[in-house]
Amino acid sequence: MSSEPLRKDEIQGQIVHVYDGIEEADNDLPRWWLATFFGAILFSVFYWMFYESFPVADYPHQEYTKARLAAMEKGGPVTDEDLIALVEDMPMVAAGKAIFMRECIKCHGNKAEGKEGPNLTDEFWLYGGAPSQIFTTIADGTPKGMPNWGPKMGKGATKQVTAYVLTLRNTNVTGKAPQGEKWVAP
Amino acid sequence: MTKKAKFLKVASSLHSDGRRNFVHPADVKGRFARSRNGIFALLIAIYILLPWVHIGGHPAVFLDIAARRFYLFGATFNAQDTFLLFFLLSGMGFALFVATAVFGRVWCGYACPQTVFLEGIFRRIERWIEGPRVQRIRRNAAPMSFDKFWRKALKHILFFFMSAAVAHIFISYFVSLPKLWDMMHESPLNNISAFLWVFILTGIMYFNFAWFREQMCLIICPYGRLQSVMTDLDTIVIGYDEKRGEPRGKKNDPTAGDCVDCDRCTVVCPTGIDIRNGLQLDCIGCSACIDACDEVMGKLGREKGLIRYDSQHGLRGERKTFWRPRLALYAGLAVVGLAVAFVFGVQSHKPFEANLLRLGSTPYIVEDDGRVQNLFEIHVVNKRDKPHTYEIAPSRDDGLEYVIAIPNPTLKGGQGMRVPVFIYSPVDGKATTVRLDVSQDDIAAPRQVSGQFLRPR
Repeated sequence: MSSEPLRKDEIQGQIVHVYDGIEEADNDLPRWWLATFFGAILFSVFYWMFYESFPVADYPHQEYTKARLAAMEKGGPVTDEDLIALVEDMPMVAAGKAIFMRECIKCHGNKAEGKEGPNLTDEFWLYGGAPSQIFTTIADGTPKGMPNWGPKMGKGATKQVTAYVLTLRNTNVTGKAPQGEKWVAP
Repeated sequence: MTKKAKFLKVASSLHSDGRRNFVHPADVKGRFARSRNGIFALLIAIYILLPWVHIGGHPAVFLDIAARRFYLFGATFNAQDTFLLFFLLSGMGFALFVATAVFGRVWCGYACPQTVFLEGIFRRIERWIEGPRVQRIRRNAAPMSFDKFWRKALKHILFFFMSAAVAHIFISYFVSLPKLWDMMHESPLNNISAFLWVFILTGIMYFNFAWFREQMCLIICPYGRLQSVMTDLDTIVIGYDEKRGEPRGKKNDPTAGDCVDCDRCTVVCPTGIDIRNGLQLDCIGCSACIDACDEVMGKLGREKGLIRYDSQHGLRGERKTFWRPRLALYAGLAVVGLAVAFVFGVQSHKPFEANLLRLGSTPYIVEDDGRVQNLFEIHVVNKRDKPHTYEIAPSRDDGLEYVIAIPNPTLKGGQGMRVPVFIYSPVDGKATTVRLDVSQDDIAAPRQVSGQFLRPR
């Protein structure tokens, strides 16, 4: 090999590297391969614009959560079993927590330890601790000052908040003294 | 290594500037071509027929992804059984390694879907419409004419329909035939995701079999790239007997070897390589060059097998060994994977699943009255197709109080539920084990699940 650096068109197909008798030729990449490479770069621009810069569409997981919410709006009567099942549903609980942090902490405290409203982390419930009872309390409100969130949030979001509240049960955060009656699972 | 080594500077199906060097393999006849065609026909028949064959009320292979139910030759698997896939696939993978270490890329040449569909369907259509190699090359180089146009158009139309057929059969493994038939009669908008799958798959198949072809084996397929570390000098590969063939020369030249340099082995090669350069990454082990060379040797009245199945040791005339450590290693791992998959596969025939899980971050809670509470949940999964009602009850009177949130859950086919179970021990309780029976309505014997009851010391 000459000491002069080779021009690109000369390098093509030339052996540029030998190691242990294994020769390496400097060929251009297959054109179809380059097409996939630049195609992927182009696609990333489109993807970025579509989902991030000008959110035209939701990410699949957001779309899924919305679809679930829509399905819950339509669903039949609210049962304990449905609500218990919902507690296992991470995206649903997370959505409930987001609403809780926006609306509920004003009265129930940042850790649900109770302020004007009661402590939600103990075993004592003013209006019953069964999942469906908690749902009803949130949806219809109470005479003592709990607003009726049902008409405002809709059935699906109320279920999500219920699911989050169910995860708080018996975590016993120090706060407002217990109110109401101790609730034991039937 | 050989005088033709300059060809190895670039893959034979590519030019050095990255353009494609399209391969037009010539027809080949011979014993390996015959057996390959038989195997292709058999494998395509199996591919078409498997969704039609029913075992135990379901198609022999039906991967119902929508319902997360997987039917394999009469056995039913759930999403919970997915871990078996690891053992099954690694077992099959190592079994393939064994085959590779013994016989080289016999999978690629005889059984890989890429080869089976390409050689068994698409290249046949191409040969039927566009004629043999020489005609194809000449017509491709010629300017567009009516003859060229209709042949190309007809070929691509047939390619498209065959791709669509292969894609539809593929989808029938995931949605079952009656469902596929219904969907084909409805508007695509009613089954948009299935329709898109078929549409995209058809596109991929068409692109792959009409144009991409050996590039898949050469550059994309990971097994193709890995095989060079699984083979060794005792692996049976397709090789050229250099000792016998070189130096190449004319038929009548007494100083020349047996190779008459007729290039038949290179023109029949579907990846366009010259097997006389030795074992190469591009060789998919299709044995076309063996048939081609045997035919020529036969005509010349010379012994067949100048190109043959042999190990590199064998081709050099050195001592051959069969048993090598890698064989034992690959075979051992294959047996482990397949055995685990089979044993657990048989076990998962149980009609339902019941597992006791401890819940929460605290091991126990001491109540105000001194009682100790442990929180568990029972995960019950109905693995049958029909709905069943389950009963969850304490196995015996062990002094513990069991509060079961939903003692009689009814589950649809394939449905699972997590049932919280609160277990209380009296102040002076001593029990350390919790036992619960889960029974299905139509089965007499309950399944017992157990766990440890934790309390302060």
